[in-house]
Amino acid sequence: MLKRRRIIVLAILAALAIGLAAVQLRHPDGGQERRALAIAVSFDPSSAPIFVADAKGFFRDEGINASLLMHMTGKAALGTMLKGKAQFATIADTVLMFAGMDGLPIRCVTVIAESTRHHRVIALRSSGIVRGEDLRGKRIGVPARTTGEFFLYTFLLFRGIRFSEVTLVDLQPEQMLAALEQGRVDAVAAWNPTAGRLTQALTARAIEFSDENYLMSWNLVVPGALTTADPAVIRKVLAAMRKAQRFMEQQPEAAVSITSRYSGTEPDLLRREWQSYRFGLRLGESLLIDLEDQARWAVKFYYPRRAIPDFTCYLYGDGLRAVDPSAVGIRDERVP
Amino acid sequence: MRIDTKLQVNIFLPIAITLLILLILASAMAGRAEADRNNAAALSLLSEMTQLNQRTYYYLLYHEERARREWFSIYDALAALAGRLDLSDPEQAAVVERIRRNLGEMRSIFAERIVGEGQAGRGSGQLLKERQDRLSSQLLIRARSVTGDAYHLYELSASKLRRADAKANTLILLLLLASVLVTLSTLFPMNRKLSSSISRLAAGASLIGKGNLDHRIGISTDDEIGELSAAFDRMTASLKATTVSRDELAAEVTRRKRVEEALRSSEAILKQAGQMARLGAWHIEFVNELDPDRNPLHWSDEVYRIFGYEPGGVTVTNALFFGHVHPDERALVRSAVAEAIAKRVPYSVEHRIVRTDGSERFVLEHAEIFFGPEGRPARMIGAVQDITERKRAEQAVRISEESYRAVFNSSNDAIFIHDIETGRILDVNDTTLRLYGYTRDEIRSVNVERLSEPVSGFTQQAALEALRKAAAGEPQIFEWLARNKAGRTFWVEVSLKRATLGGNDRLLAVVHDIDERKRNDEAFRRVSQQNELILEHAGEGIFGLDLKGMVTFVNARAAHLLGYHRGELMGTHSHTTWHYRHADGSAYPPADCPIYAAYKEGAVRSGEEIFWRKDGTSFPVDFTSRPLYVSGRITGAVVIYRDITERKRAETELRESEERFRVMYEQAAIGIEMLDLGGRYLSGNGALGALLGYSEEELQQLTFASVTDPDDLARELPLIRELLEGRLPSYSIEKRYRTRTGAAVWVRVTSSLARTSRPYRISIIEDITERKRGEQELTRLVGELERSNKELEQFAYVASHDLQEPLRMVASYVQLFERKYKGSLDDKADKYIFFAVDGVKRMQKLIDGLLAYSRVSRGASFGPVDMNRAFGQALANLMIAVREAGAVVTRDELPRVTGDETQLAQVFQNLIGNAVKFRKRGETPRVHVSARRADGGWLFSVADNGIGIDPQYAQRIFQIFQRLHSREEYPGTGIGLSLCKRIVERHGGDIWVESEPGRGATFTFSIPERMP
Repeated sequence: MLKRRRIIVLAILAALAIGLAAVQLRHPDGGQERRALAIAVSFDPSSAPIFVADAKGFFRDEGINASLLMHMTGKAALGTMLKGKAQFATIADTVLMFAGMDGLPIRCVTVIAESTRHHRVIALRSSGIVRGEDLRGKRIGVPARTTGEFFLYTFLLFRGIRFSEVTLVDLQPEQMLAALEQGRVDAVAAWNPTAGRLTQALTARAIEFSDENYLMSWNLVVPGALTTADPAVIRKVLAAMRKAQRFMEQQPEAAVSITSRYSGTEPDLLRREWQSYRFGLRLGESLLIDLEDQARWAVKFYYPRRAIPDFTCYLYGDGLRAVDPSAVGIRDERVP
Repeated sequence: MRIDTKLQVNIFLPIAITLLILLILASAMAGRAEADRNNAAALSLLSEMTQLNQRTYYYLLYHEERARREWFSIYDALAALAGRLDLSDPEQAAVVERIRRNLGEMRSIFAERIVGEGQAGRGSGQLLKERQDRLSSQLLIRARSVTGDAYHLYELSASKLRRADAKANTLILLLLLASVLVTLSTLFPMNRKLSSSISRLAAGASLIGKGNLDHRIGISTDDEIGELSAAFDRMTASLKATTVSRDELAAEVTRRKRVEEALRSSEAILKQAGQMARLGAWHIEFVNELDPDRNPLHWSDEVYRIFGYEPGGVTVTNALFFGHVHPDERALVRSAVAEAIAKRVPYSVEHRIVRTDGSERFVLEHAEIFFGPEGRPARMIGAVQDITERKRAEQAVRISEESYRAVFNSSNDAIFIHDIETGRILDVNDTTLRLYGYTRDEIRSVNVERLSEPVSGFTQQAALEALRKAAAGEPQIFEWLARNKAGRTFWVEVSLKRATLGGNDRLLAVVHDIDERKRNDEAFRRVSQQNELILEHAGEGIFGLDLKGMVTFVNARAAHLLGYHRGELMGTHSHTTWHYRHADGSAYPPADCPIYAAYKEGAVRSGEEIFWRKDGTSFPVDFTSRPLYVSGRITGAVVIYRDITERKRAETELRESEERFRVMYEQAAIGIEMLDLGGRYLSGNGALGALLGYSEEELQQLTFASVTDPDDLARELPLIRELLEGRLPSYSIEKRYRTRTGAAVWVRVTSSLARTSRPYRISIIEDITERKRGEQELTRLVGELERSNKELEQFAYVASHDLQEPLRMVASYVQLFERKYKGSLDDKADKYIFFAVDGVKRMQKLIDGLLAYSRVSRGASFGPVDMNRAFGQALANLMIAVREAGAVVTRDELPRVTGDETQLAQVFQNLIGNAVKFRKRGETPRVHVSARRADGGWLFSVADNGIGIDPQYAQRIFQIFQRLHSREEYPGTGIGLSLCKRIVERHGGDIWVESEPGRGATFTFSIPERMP
């Protein structure tokens, strides 16, 4: 009887040891203290892989204790990162381009998503606007130096309107509803979730325009110094986001629900818009062409006679290369 | 489980596992075939997309109809291919979906751009061009995105293929392993269990047979052996019931003997202890109820001794005992006994006895009373101890304590007794309680800090420090700012010393209230100090004079200004020491002195005078003299004076400066204008008049705005506003003035605001017309050159990108070909494959080099660069090459420069790499990097002992694609040195080589200290 009991005890111990080893293999950092870091994120649904990674514990699995600092715009998120309060930030291509033009010390580690239907022009019918062409001569609110401004420029261009033919009002997303209701602007250029909220709030008083002439990319950036000081943490964050990406592909409905909760977007609205986002971690030449294209626009309006910088200095491929080698299509990114 | 069932299971289990392996293998092979198909489809997609990329570029460059048709043809094939792809893996499916959507958008963008081409000739202008550019960018973005995704898909499917192979292999291995383990894990334990059970059965039977009826075999398995074991155990138990044990009696006898021995030993020890503690034992039997005093009493030897008897020297009874109890306390003892019996509690009493020799002793008694079955007391057992010595000591302490307390409380000073170790307050006298307002209990619980003013120096730490010193035997006397319970602060003098109180070491603090004295002293000191400070630190010299003009007071400033010590001036007459002459050297009679007039006339007098220093020099002063009244009577004067030498000097300089400015203004070769704040001319000098063609009078009718070119006026007005608002100290602007004839002249205007009582704007006007013409010409030429360079760079950049795409295709296919067919064809084919792979690799290197070359001018912005670090980076990149060549690379300490660190590291890498590559056979390659200062910058040299270069090629080697050796001899692209040259030139420097064949080479490049 004693011998049998001993065998049972040994079997239980062996099972425990195997279990612990399995947990250790699954969570290689399980024995160590988690690395605490902050990610400055915009409420934009494009940040869905980060929301999902946080909600499903993929960051924890990678040994990271991530806290998300929510912002209304990617520009504000970048500001937080540059102040040293966060190690990562999500920003759109236009904000990345401006950062490059200003020589800010940041590097993009991956594109998170792309979208052509992300932006809208929302105009007041009472201002006599029924077609895009009616925007000529109107006051249009848009946050300066953001994708909103670049989108508006493209939108107007394709309707034969020069930028100089409208009056631009620098307006933050949270100020747009009041500005429209008080008649301070005739239209705004906004993106989700603000665009959806404005349409819901203004109902029939507003008319909405969009087109697909601007493919916006949504990106994850880090301070340049982090790429040399702690490249491992970049790999871990990207590994967690890749898991989130797989989860989103396998369980889209759950991903919509999580993103709705984090971004504050109405679930039905988000469900309708979900297909317009092209999620996927990658870092390729399309981003370089996009940045150089936008830089040419920025030189015209913001940086007269300024040379366009080498944007490869603002990309960092080694992180994503370690996680998914074929997702990186650039080969010779440089240290700025 | 029965034994025969187990044997059957062991036969069928391996068969089942084998079948399972075959099933899984078939499934894995099916998965692999699907992955292979997907991989091939992805490769086709990548191939088609590469073609579409080329067509896209071609069309965007040349807009040919043929290119457009080809584009649509390739696009249709590609779209069909993408449409056919049906991938089950969600990740791959997501990539395919992205490809399809981007392709869809590419088609509509391309179509839209073609429509735009059609409008181009119809004069739609700049807006259309911008729109076409946007469409081109969007088309290229999507094309690159699809290419990237196609490559990603190819790699994902290839990876899946590899995983499918690995998975199948792993599964087979695992199943085989599982099969072996399962077989072993069933057969081995079964055999082991059977043999073990049979052995136990045999051993048990043997033991029982030898008479051990306590043994049980105890096998409880549910098979045949378990049943046999149970039968044996039942049989043994029946036998055991008939047998008895016999050893218990002997064991009990032995145990009791041991107890007796221990008891004897314990008794002897107890007796000895009692004697030492003067403790005796007694007991009494309550046998005589009628006369309790006759009850027999039994004493131990020590009790006899306590009462003054020899042990056993007398027959003891209760009466004898009470006879020895002190007469004053007999009633007490009897009452204690009666109470103990009545209340059935232990008896305990302390009383005096009278011994046989008549001496008195104190004893302490304790006893227990035992009662009979009817509830009457039967026996009393007790102990008695002589405590005389202890009682006497206690009495002496009590008397001493009372005396001490009387002295302690009668002191007029507060007295604290502190613990010597912790400083805690143990006791205080009544004066302390009155002074501090605490009760005795309260004051024991506070620390010294609570009894002190909470300011620096009167802290618990400071108090502890004083206590510590006193504890070390060093008496302390100091003043302390104390605070009572109500918060009132007061000064005390504390005398602190170590003392022995009641046999303990203590610290005794005697606190004397000195508050009133202290406050009086402080008030007086403050007032005196304040008065002294005011006079001493006055910026002016101050004298007190009596009615004879004698100095009765002088402050430090007054003495200092005159070059005397104060003592030298006291009691002297002012008109003999410092006020005896006028400025022209003539005597100054006291009768004329305006300073004396103050006390002579009783009025305040002030003015400027000349005072004379001790060294005979003089200085101008501004003085005020006031009569000094004491009890309403003038007793002298107070004189306050100030040295005004600097003020006098400034007034002179101002006069001279104004004169100089007037001359300069009138004679200056450059224009000077003065304008009121409204921009109207106040005046303009001759040079300005000549430049504009107006006389000064005419200018005064004009404003600067009327002569400034309107385009330039808009630029200047904000600067003027900032100047007037004080946000700019001055500004400079280059602008055009219009002359009287309307001609434009370029001028550089530097303007500032004169902040006088009536502020005006003053400007210097410099004619820069000629310089401006030269600059415009230069700007035009530089612009031309930059545009031309940019176009060339753009061409190289785009061409390299375009070359990369087909090359990646060629590389993919050639590597695929190599993987599939290497070794399956003949040797020639293997050789051709090698050439193809090698060619592709070289081509990739060439393109990378070209890309790097074209990107030099797009490098990062310049910053401080530690060239030691740049060297370190280069060496790290060359680590393998250096190690393989056995090269020795050394450096001097290198300076910091301003530049692009990555590019400068690239220069070092290329130069050191070349030095290692072009080494002499049979000789250890040695490379040394050094730096030296040169005019306005640094020269860096990379010297080697390699094969060297013929001087006639010293220029050619820096040209792109120029090589001096065959590729077989020394591999390379011919871009490295041209890249170095471009980088150095971007930094404003130059690069050259000094060498002779066979004698090594020294490459030198310069980096200016500041960028041009």
